[in-house]
Amino acid sequence: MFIRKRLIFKRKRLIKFGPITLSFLTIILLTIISLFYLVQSNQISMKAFILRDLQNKKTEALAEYERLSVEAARLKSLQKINEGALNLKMVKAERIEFLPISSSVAIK
Amino acid sequence: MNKFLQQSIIRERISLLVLIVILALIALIGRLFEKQVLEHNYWLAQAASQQKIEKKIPSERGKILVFDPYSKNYFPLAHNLTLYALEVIPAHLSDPLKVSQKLAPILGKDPNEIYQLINHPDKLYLPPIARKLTDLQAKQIKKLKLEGVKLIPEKWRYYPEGTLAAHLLGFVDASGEGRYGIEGFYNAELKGRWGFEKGAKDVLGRELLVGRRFYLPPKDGRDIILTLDHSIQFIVEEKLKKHIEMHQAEGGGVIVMDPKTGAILALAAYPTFDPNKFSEITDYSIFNNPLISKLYEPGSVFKVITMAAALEENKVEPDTARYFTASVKVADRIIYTSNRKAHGWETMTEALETSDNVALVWVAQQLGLDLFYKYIKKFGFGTPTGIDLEGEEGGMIKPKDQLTEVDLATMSFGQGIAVTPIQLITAIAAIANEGKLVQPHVASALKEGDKIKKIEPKIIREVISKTTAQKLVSMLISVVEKGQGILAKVKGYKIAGKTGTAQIPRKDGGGYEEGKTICTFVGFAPADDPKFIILTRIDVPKDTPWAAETAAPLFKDIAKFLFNYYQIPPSD
Repeated sequence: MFIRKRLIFKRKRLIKFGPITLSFLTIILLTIISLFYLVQSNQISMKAFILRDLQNKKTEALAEYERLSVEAARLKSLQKINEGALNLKMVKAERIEFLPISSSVAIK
Repeated sequence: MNKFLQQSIIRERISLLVLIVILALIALIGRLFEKQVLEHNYWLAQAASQQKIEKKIPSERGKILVFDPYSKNYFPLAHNLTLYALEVIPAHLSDPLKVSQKLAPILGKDPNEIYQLINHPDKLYLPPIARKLTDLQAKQIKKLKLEGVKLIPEKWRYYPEGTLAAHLLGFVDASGEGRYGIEGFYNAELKGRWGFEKGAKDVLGRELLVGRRFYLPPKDGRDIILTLDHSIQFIVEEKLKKHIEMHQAEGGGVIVMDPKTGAILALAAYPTFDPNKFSEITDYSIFNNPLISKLYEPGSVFKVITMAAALEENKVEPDTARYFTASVKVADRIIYTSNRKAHGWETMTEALETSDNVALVWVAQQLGLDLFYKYIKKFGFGTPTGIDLEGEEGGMIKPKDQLTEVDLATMSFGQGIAVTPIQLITAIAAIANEGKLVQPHVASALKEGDKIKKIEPKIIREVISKTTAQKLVSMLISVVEKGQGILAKVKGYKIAGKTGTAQIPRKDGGGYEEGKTICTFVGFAPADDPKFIILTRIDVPKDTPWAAETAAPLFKDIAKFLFNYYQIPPSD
């Protein structure tokens, strides 16, 4: 019985809030929220900078890809291939013959 | 000094101080009024330019591609390329002479020339002093870290094959708009849509990615895949140039088409231009594609149309025979055969073989004006074919009510009617395609990312029956085997075709130019199951005026290559 009474007494003291406590709590809460906002804003700003860096890298990579594609297209152009063939002293196939394929050959 | 006097001096001083403060306040308020009310808009704009970003984001122009059937790869005929413009802010330059000396070796210019351009210390803006700088040049300039010197990236169109298919491709002008050819016709699809961005920037002018921001991404243009075969195009251009030089001709052109689908496999005109250097060209008429826009009297090739109409209307048969003299009088005009000699008794097949004007006048007379006119229209003359290239002309035919019997006679052998080469090849392709007229087209598909939207071939109408087409094919084979088209024959292959030597009307309207001709040959092969149809044209050859000796051998040269390219074995 004695222990039970003490417990009831303690609970009553814990839930007692005065105006000063409330003010303190509000200030603490506001400080926490402000800090949270500040940290979050800072993190977003940091992420934004990282994002911009990544965007710049992407732009650079795309520009490089474009440059290489153009270079590949230039090197694959028929004019270039023809020049290469001439430099290698390749000759045109002048005589072309079509070989008849008989069914017996196909069966074998 | 007594106390009263001292107090009086202090009061005076305080009053003076109050007055000064009031005056200062009035001045301050006045200044504030000036800045905030009178110059409100100016400062607002200044603040906006410092803090806000509003910019258009350019879309990426679609590429023009060709599909190579052997390597199964796409090859670009038009690509995008980033090059740089060099801008200088003269007012920000500390030493213009030093800057010009540093830039000169990179730009390949004289330092004095650059100095003259940039030495204007009072100016804040100058147009770019150099454009189309390469990536390497841009890197070299960036390394110099020159104050007041800016590099602006600019998108340019690049045609890796140079002059190849220039008339078919067209070009993109300095404002980014497609002109002529495919670039002009599909400009909206290729161009895409610009994006837009609105937001804030930091003190260094960098865009802030947090806060209120509006971003509309650009929509890139679609790639266009052509029906063109770049290997055929390359060979065709090479052979066309060779034959033009051989005959010292003024120009010429070739169209290679699949007669069953209307797909253009090659389209070459000479003289040509390099679309990478379009701005250097002063004679703009070279940009017009003569194969779709230049009207001319086709000459004897048109006899095929006359004969097709007469066969379809059962007015004649291939073996209908008649005696034809060297000339015929129509109203007040005498029409002669090309060599002014009579061909005597001949069948309709032979009339095509000898390209007998007098015989064809008789054929047209059997048809009459109404029927002949009906078939001319049915074959698509007088209206554009609808090919997907910018700048097509529709040809010129007199209105029916203005046609006379002389017009009927001359039109039967291709005079007094103006057509384009694309109309001519499309009409004769209908004969190769069992009488069905198909629309010629250059784009086979539109590509957006991995999605490919195919453009299906379009059959316009049936102009003649399959039976008539077959009869005509046999007659045209005979023209190549025994007639004027013999120089177009490739040993072992059945080719159907017809020559056409057209005179050039004088610009003053009175008769024809002396000794000047436009030579055409249109033929298809293998005649029984055509894989290709070719139109060759040589303008004003100097060594011979006849199509049989100019356009027909060019056809043979190209056809020979195509038989090998498509691996078509000989049938004879």
